[in-house]
Amino acid sequence: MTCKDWEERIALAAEDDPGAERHLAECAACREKAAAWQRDLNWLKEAHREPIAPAHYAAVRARVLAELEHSRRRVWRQIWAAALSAAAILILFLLFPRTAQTPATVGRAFRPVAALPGGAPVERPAAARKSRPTLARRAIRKPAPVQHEPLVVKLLTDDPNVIIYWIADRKGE
Amino acid sequence: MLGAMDGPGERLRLIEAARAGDLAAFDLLMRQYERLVLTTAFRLLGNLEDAKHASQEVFLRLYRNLGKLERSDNVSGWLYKVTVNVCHDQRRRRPAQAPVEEAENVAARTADPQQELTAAERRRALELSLRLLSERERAAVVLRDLEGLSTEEVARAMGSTQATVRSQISQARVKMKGFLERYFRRHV
Repeated sequence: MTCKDWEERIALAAEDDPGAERHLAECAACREKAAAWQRDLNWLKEAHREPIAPAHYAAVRARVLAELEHSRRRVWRQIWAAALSAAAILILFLLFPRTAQTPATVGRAFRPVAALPGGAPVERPAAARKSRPTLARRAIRKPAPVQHEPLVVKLLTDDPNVIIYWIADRKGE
Repeated sequence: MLGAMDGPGERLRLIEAARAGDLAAFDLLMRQYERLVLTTAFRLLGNLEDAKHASQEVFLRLYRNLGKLERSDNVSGWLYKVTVNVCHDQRRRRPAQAPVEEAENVAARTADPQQELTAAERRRALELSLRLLSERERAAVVLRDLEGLSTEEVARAMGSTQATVRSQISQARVKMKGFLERYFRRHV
């Protein structure tokens, strides 16, 4: 290995690297290079030893605490807004009772359908009326099939003693 | 006063109190770690105002993660990791005011060839050489050489492996050395 090959390993002289240490023991040029690195490192540490003024730390702390206070106030505002909304909805319910259809009125809506002439009364279980009012609406739109009576056609002839009766069923047969 | 609060028991008490909403306790907790966070951010970003913004974000994240840290005995390690991440995000959102590529030109314009190199000038050259490094290399050098963390701790803070960190540090040192040689050859 050449000195160039050793360069990066020597740059890590602080790390335990027996191979690099052996090379350093043999090569004066690389020893010089490693010493220069160490010198630069010390200069760098020295340069960064200058303390940051306490006012900067205080400014950061003040900003963080202000932000936390602000977010805490925001949370409380949201809680209050939610509570007030809930209270307002409750008051509205108490002042203006609900006027929507109750199960009883749904039942009334059924009656005309049930009373169709000749039709079978439409009955729905009470539980179904209560839990699924949409079924009731569907029943109103689609009336129950009407049972037709047989059709009787009376044909008169020239002879008053002869009368022809034609009786047809629902299908017109 | 703060020295007495360095113990893990006292720290745990402060974390519990802060978690319960005691902002005074959180203020004390920040005082314990403010040097670590602000100086690391300053070294990574190279600008005090940006470093203050980053530190603010780090402490807000600390507040949001107090529950997690109650069970951890390595708050410093967690803070190093978050500081590196926050500075990385900040750099991505807001690039450095003086671009890294211009560092050599800045050095060439301002140094006086006739003047003997003063300590301040040398420090400035070193600072510029830090700016030439990639973000990962700079973070590795800052944490390893300036903050004095072990390679293992640096790897943990950077979410990397020890081998990668070693490689980044050695490459960074070679780059810095090369920059300083060019700088001094030009000006001495």
